[in-house]
Amino acid sequence: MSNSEKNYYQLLNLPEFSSIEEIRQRYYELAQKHHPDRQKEDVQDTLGNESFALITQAFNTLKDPEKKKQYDEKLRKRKKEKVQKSSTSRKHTSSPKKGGSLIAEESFQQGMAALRRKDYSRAHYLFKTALNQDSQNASYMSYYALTFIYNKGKLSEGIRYATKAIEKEPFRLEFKLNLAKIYLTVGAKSQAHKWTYEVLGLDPDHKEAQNIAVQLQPEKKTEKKGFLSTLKKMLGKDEK
Amino acid sequence: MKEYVIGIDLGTTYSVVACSQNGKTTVIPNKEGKYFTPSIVYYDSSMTPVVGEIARRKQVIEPERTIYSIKSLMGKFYSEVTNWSSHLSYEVVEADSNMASVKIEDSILYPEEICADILKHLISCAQEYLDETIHHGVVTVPAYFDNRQREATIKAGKLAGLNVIRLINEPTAAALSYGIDAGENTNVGVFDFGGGTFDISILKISGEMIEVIATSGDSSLGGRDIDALLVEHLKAHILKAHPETGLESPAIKIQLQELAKEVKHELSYKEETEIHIPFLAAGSRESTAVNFSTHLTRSDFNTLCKKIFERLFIPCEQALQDAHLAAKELDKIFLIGGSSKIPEVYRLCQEFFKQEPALSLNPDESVARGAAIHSEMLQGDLKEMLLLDVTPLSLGVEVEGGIFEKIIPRNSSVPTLAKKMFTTTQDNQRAVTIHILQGERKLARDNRTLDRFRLEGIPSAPREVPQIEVVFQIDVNGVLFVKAQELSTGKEQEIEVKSYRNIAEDFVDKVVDEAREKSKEDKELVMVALAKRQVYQSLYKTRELLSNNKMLLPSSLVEEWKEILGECHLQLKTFDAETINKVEEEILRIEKDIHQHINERNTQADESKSE
Repeated sequence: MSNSEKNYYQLLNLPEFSSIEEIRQRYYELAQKHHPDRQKEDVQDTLGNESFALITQAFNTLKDPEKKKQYDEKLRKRKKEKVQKSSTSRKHTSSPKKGGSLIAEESFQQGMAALRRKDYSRAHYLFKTALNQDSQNASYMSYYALTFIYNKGKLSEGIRYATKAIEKEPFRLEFKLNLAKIYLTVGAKSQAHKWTYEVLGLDPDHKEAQNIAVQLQPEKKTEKKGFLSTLKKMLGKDEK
Repeated sequence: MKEYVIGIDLGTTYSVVACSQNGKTTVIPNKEGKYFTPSIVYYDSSMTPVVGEIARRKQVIEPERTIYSIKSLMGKFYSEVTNWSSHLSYEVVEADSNMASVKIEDSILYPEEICADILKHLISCAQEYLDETIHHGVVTVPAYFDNRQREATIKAGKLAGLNVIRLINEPTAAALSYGIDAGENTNVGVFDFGGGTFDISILKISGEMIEVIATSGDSSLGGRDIDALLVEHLKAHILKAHPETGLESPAIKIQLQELAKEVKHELSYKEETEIHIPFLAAGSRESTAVNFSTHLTRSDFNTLCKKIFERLFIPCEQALQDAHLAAKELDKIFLIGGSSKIPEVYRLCQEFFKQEPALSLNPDESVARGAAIHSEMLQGDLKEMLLLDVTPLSLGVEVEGGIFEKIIPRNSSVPTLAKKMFTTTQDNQRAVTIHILQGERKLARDNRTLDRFRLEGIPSAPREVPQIEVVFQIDVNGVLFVKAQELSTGKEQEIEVKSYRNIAEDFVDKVVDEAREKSKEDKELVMVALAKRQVYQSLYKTRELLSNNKMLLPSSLVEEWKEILGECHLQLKTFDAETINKVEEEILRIEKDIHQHINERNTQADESKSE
């Protein structure tokens, strides 16, 4: 993903083409809140959170008059293209590169990355950001829903989003699997079973679905215990 | 009770330690009652280190066992230092992973270890003065220090038992010590000409924000170079008068160096100085000692050093350009560092910056004071202040054709990140090597190699299909971190990053291992130390666990645990096995409790969901 695909002004929450003074002022405000030095409990965290690093990346381009000029030109050009494109086709709701916001896609990709490294709270936040930018994207919905498993509260909301994503794009196996995972967490075995086997019906070799199916087999140990021990394992992993 | 966090200016020639309370800084005197401790370590026949003034006195007697200017070797490859390391009175050799290290008889010492000995000494001075144990410190580095030099500095702290909570750039630290009351919206320049390095930083201070907007410098330009020139000059004169004199012995090298320093200092307040060297070359082939006298005027000195002085203003020009400011737009320019006391340097600054520079009474203390102030800012006692620093050098990778592609340009505010996609060039290629460099030159080979990362475990695929996203992150210490992920398959794929950092960790372990081998008598103590490391690790792990999950836990308990863990940390200073054992039990108990609470909470949440 090249830098030119992101809108730095949106990252800084500023009107486009704001002046360097305004940008600096805004960055100072954000730094006062989000700079790692402001995270007093943990002076050891020298990297800070990723969103602040991204904000700083935006600032680093926009604080420099020459780079800002180049960036602004690119942004203007891109906006023009976007207007032309969206007037010719408005169908591609699920493909944010064509219709939706670029920042949404960026957040989504980061969310997926966070998910992969098992940083669930960050993933949750990032998917939410993506969804805020593009509320009709099925992928964002489904993965946002998935992160409810790892973040306390409102699993019902997760189920709602996951279901909606499937309604939107019924051919996406991963969405069904995400829903199955949520049901599994809730303990709604029959629902989890239904969605898992729907995936396996379409792709019997689907590894993840197979794994879930194994978990759904009635065994001696209760599901709840299994979940707890995996959670514990996960926490163990998160520690490093 | 609040723990002291000290600020340490770890200089090439001198080191200074300071502490700060309520915005008031105190420079801590060393055991001889002096504020400046020579950054010199003497190792006796049992390799026991002696630091500071006493070591300096040993220099003339046992020059090959007396290590000075060690900062210049920190984080450097042997090949990078060969052109000047021969001027040193001790032996510099190539050690593991091609790093420069010091050899005394049969012992090899890494620069980090020697720096650690200096740090240990400074810490013990501070502990004595403050009557308190010190665990944490802010350590200064030249702004122009690159990634490896920074990592080496953190490592030195680690070896000295000091938790380096932050590296702060020297000119930034100096600016903090002056700039805290500089007022609204001022542009300040800090010109830091020290013993071994030169830095220029331009800062914008507006109210509580201190933003470094540009920094530049030369990490091998300092008073030391002036001394070397003077030594050469003196040598030439001596040889002219007494062609038979042998001048290559380490003792004479040191003698001449000391003399050069003296001459330099004297010419800062005198127009002319007499130079006498009695009994020169005693011990050389000649049986009779030579007495040598000459004199040097300030204008001779200025002519001699002209080239060095000229080099100072190249980075200055660069920094102004990067800051998009003209020299006269700076509201203030501070001169710091010992070499700034040279009248010609002052005059040239006046000319270049088109204004009267500010030279403080104690330009050599300001860096340590600034570090101490920053330590208070970090602890939250100077809450309103916030420091935004930059990375001094561009960071990038080598791309096709040996070109250097910048990923994070110099003078980027930190912490920041940048992402870059990599792919494979061959079918079924399972690994990619990424060559990371730091510098400003166009070709990769002209920049400094930081690292070569190997990304392994790429899924088998046609060429150019795998998409590996590599994230380069620079933290507030200016240290680089690299992460990698495979994106194309959507599968969870752990890409392994093999890096220099791991080697560095190994090294720390090795030092401990060596200590274990070295002395059988100390075995017990070493065992305790090793065991303690584990306890420290579980302490840090538990602390992290606590801070990561504090939202899930009752706040009263979080506070309580925090306090107990703090107490545990204090108690771990001891070498008493039983106490350590108890502390460990306590830590493990808390860890267990935390897990239990999280689990309980999740069970509850789980149950309420399934209803």
